[in-house]
Amino acid sequence: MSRTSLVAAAAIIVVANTLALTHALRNRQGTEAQVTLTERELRYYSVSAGDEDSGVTLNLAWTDPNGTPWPVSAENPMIWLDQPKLQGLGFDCSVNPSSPDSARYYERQRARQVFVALEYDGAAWRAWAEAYQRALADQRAKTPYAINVGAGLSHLVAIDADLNSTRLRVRYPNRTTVIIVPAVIRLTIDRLPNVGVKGPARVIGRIQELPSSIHVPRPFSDEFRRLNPRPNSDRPYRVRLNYGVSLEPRVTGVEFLNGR
Amino acid sequence: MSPPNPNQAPQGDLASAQQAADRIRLLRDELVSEEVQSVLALTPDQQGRFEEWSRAKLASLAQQFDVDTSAPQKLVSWGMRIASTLGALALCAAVVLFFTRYWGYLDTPVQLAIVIATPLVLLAGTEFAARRERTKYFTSLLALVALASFILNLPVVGDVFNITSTERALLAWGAFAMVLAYRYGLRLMLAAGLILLMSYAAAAYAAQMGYPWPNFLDRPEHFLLLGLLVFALPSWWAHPRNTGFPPVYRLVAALTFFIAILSLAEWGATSYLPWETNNIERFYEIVGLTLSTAAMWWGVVRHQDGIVTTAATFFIIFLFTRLYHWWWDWMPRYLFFAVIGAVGVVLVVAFKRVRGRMIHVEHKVPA
Repeated sequence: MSRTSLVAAAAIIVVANTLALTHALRNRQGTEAQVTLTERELRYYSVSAGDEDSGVTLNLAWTDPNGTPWPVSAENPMIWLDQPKLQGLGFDCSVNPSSPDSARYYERQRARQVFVALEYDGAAWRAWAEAYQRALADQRAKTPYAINVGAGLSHLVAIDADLNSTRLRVRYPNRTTVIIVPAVIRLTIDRLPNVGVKGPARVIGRIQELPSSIHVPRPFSDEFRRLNPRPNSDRPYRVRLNYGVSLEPRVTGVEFLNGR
Repeated sequence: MSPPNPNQAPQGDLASAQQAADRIRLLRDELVSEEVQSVLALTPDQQGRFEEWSRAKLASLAQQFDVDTSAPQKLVSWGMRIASTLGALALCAAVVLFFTRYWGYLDTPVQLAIVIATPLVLLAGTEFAARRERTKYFTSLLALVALASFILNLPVVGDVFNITSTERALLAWGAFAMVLAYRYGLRLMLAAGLILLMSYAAAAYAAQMGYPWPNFLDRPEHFLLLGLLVFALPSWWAHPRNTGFPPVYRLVAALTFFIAILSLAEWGATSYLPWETNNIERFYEIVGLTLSTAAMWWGVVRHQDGIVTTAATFFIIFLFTRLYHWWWDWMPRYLFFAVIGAVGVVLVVAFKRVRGRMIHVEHKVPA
């Protein structure tokens, strides 16, 4: 048997790993954004005793104004991913959403890969929280069954999307409050925006997915693992994240605060 | 005329050698039966020479390729094949779970060293096993575990550095599986490689068009084209060293093709066709029934057992799915199953007639 194919098999392993490590190294050669987030935005789901995964992963939680439930009697004024924006992202919105064919037409549109800007604890969050509290108060005046789903939401709010991450960064130059990440957007028809709200059907976009799992390396992970015997521990913490040139995050610091 | 030299090196691979051994074994069994001896009586000298030659030929094949030379040996070999495949799958799970259990306690350089070295070490182990055995049970087992550890390797590196996942990993895994398949003549590895490479092609196209690559299964029509391509490959690419590979290509292609049609017949909204979803689903049901019938015919004509079985299975699935859509809602359940049973009986009668005609044609004495 010639050795060529054996060398080729080994080379595939070596080359694939070299490319991955080079990519990781390149990502670390610059800082695209640096933010410090709390346990509200980076959630640690403690593992159970029977869980066999010893790794520590934080889950990035974000608030999408388009996708967050809104008090039923008010129109959501915070829709940011609307029809013109979706067309700019490559979605075909040529069919009137009120037409009979629209359901078939839009259900067959595939989700698209874009870049999204997420602002941490800034003007977008404050505007959203104020609008939400107003709508909630209106709703509570009409019915006692209004539930506040806004409490405990992540203050990392989706504010804009683009096919080009550089253009997005030019529009949002603050690298300590705005992070830019790849995301998957899906469009949907909002036929009856809310019960009691009259208006035509409209096309809106929602963030379906973005890279939300963030690996915590040692030594930072050791402290998280110590939380495990107390799975519902509410010990607050802050995590410093560096987003590199490839828009991939890296945990560069963890600070555990005193319990509430 | 002198008898052929039984020690002459047989052509081809293990599969060809096994086929040759099976033919000789059957011929030996038939020649001693009373019925054959009543029409073909060999002289004691001829019988002795055939006995001597066949014994030496089987011994030579067994020595060179470790083939099975008796029916009980074949049964034991099947058991070993099943055991090695199940063992390999269990070992793959063990490797993944063992690493997952302890990796969190390791520093990043150690994690990386382990996940990168493991597939390389297992590749060396596969090579070592291949040099020591001819039947390839351990080679196949170690090759599968090597592929599994390489599949574990790239996502772990991705996780450690929070790298956004990419479809290119499918290309690396597929290429690795194909190289192992061709180096060691492993059919299971070939099937894995083909599935990974087809997935890569569909995922790369999705990514190129601006869609998220993990949703590559969203458009089953891509797999129709890929299935046809893989089906045609063995016609252009001869496999003199691995004679068992073309049927694997065709079987993987047929499964891919018919699963894609079945998926479109059930969820027409995923099609590129600009029609009403219901019309798309009916269209693909008819296409499925027609093409599975054609594939059965092709398999019978070309003696491709795997294709006949696959096509027949999908023909039944397409037929019963159609009947389900027609009748399940309005027919009493007992009647529905009675009708299905009746359809089954009709199919058996139809196949019996086809078989009868084939026997008639094959046994017709030429004028």
